[in-house]
Amino acid sequence: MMYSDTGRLNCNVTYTTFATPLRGQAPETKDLSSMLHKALEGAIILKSFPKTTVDVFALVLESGGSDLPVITTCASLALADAGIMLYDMVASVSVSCLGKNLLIDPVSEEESYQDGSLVITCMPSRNEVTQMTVTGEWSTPKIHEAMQLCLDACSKLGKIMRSCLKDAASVPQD
Amino acid sequence: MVGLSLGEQNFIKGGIAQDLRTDGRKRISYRPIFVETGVIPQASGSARVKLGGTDVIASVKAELGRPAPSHPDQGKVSINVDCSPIAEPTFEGRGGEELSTELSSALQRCLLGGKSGAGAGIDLSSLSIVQGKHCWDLYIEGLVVSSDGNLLDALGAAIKAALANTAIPKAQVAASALPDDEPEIDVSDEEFLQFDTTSVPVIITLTKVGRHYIVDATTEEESQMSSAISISINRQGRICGLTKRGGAGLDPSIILDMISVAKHVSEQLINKLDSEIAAAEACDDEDDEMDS
Repeated sequence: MMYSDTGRLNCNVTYTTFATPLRGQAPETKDLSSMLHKALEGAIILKSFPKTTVDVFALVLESGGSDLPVITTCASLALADAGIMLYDMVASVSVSCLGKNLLIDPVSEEESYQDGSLVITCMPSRNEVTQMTVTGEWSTPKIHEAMQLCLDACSKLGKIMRSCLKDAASVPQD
Repeated sequence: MVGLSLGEQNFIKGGIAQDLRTDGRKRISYRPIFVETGVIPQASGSARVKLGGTDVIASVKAELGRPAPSHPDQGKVSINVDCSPIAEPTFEGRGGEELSTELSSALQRCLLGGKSGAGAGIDLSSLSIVQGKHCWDLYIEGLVVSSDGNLLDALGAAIKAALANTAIPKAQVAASALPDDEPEIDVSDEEFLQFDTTSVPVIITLTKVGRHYIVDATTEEESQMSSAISISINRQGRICGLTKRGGAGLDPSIILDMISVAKHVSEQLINKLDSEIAAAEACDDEDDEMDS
């Protein structure tokens, strides 16, 4: 392994065979792994740990819809819990478009009928979007509306993540 | 690609800031696009697109298959990209795999629309033969022959041209004696269905270097980017897909600004591409007439 003066990030997402309603129906995990990598690499301060690799392993126990946003948010909490230096928490939310309606955080059934989806991963306190993917046909005003919805949700999610970490830290260690 | 010296990097960044890139283009101009269709006679449709130093080939093969149980009245389309070692020695074996998966999933997102099939660039119900039993499966393969930046846009254009060139044979279902029998499919060699590609979107990648965005970046310019957004826009100006690439964070207002710049650029690109494809097809027809 070559010496590197910045840290390296390695992400791996896997599904258990019982995660989906039909056995073994897992989506493309290579695709999800590379998306998780892109979502997190903007947030980790890689310069703070040279000659080191951070491995993030995500195992989906049950897939109920809106998988990648949940995986990303969870991975960010795990990194914070591990003490890895981050620029900011990473929160991720997805919105489904069904006809004229926007549904935030869809479940699998809603996702299977969706006309389009928008997934945003952002760092709420820095107001920076690290990853955004849009599928389906959208008009510009609709994208504005969906982005606004997601960013508001991400900032609320960021606050919940912080309070969760604070509670965990304040529990006395036995 | 050889590494760039500090002087070269500053030259590229400074040029972009002053709206004069190293090859003399403005920030929102494309390199000359060259389209050739029908390059692979054995495929149902094919096209080769050259965008400056970037050279890609797309081929479409149609095969008979069964529709998915969740969508019995639709055909299936699968898009796959292969980065050949001819383009870069590092693409050999598993090296090009990450880039291939990224390009394949970005293309699928842009051209295949939502899960319910809405917003797809290709009308999947036109691929159905017998509802629930037979349909056409389209296998769209992209091959990167030479890479000088902006692979996604070139692949998007090549797929659009390949679809315009695609001729799906007419399949006639022979009436079977018993209702339970598998119907016989007679695939015609003479009659073909042409695809209507006016609704297929184009992909525009906007690369952010410093405080400005450029369109159609070369490999050198891409090495200086902080992030990039690839947007797929159709003729009606509606966004059919968006992928953010690159690790750095972007302010949401910048993303919205990039979307409006992409819409502005897409109008010229769609017209240019459609006229190039039409010219290539006309050239192809003339060659066929001369041969026969």
